[in-house]
Amino acid sequence: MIDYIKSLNWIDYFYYCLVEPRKLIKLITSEERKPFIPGVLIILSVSFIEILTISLLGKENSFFYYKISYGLILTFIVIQIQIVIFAGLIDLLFQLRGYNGNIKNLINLFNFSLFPRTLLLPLVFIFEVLNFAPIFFYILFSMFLFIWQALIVIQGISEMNRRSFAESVIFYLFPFFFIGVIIIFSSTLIIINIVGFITSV
Amino acid sequence: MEKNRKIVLSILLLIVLSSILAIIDIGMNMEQGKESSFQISVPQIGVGVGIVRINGPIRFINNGGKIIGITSGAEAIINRLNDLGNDRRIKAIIVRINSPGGTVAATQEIFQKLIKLKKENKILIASMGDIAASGGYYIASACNHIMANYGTITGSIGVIAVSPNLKELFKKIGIKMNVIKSGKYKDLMSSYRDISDKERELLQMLIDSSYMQFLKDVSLGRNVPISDIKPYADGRIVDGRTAMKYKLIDSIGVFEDAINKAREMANLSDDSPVYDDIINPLERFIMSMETIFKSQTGIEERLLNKNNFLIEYRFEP
Repeated sequence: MIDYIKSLNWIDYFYYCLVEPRKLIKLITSEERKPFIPGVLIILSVSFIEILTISLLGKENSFFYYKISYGLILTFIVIQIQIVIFAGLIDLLFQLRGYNGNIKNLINLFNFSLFPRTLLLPLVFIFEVLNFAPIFFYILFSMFLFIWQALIVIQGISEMNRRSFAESVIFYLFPFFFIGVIIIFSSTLIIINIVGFITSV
Repeated sequence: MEKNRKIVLSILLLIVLSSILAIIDIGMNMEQGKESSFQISVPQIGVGVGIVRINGPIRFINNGGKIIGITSGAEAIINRLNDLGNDRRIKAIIVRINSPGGTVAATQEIFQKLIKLKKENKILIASMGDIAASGGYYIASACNHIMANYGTITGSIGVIAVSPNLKELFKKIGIKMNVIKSGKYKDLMSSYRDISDKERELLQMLIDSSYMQFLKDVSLGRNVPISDIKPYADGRIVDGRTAMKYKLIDSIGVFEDAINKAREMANLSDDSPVYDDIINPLERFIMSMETIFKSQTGIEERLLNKNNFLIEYRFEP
């Protein structure tokens, strides 16, 4: 383990993630590498950094200690579940279209795609220290980093199945569309039920 | 490749460094109590002050005070007091009163609950809003400290029972009532006939008894002899300044002052949390629905001849 850390081979994941996402997927799929643990560590770091960034912008009280302990675990679990659902839905679409599905590689790809989000803290910190519209820049950088994250996943999907960029965009957007439709229908049903219940009382 | 690895390693170190700096910054801000324009609602923790709000007429709601499992009316106030009493974090309770009073039983029940909480060493502060008259003042008197605004209408110590006499109207439109009763007082305060002297005497006894209870309880709550209260206990209303002169209240101040007073009396820090009343948005929504669908003015009940006779600790202009 210590030798592995000293070898700095694990840094390649982060490098390719930032610079060349297409090579990242090759690294993930290569058999001699074990990308799962670095990927999980990224989710943990992202959860930690998201909580720190939000806390940095607002007024904090002793609830901060709960956020950074139990909140970290909760955020980690939520992100992980989110990734499994998204990867599962994309994998489902792969198989429906007759491509080779590999949910393990997709999960690893999603895990690594979160890495740019760790840059949110240093970026926002600068504007927080300067006291120059930190909330505006927090929103701006969050959007920018989300697009970056999406681009990593899209290029990874494109490389994984040798599909065009445009087709990979559709694969990437499918879970959003699918979950969106479910949310719209279920919230409509819930609202109808609540209104019916209140008016019948 | 080695060079690239070193660049990425530097980025990782930068992230770690900024995380450490952020933690230090957050820690320092927490200690200095830094204000921020950006507020995220976070659950409050630790010992603090609880708030119970008493708004409008005090009475038990006929349907058991429940709508979709959420209690309202005097029952809701008692439930809230029970919750605050059982909550170990709550060292002081602010009773925010904005009420002209209400029915005798409901008022007395809330009063007794507050006395019980006082015995359990909870610090009670009454903060009066626009009006805390009659039953509103009755409840306030159970608290360790009463605070009102200069313009608060308070006092009105007394009991009232009102019933309309519709005899002439009935006669005019030709309505006659058939009454079969087991005793001569069974249709006491009926609106279709005049009240007899005997009945008036009986009701006066009832009113006097409730009035004496009012005086006794205020005397107990305020820890002053009845003789000190009686000169002003003739139903008169007073403003905050006059109430202070008559020693009906302890100080003049706004709601925020009441919070600070509660913290001071309970030996809590200046930034100790304040646990306010209903904060659940669903409860707020349901309460507003109840107000819309069910009349809160009492007009509906009076028109439908339900509870048309009530003995109340209430200021009724």
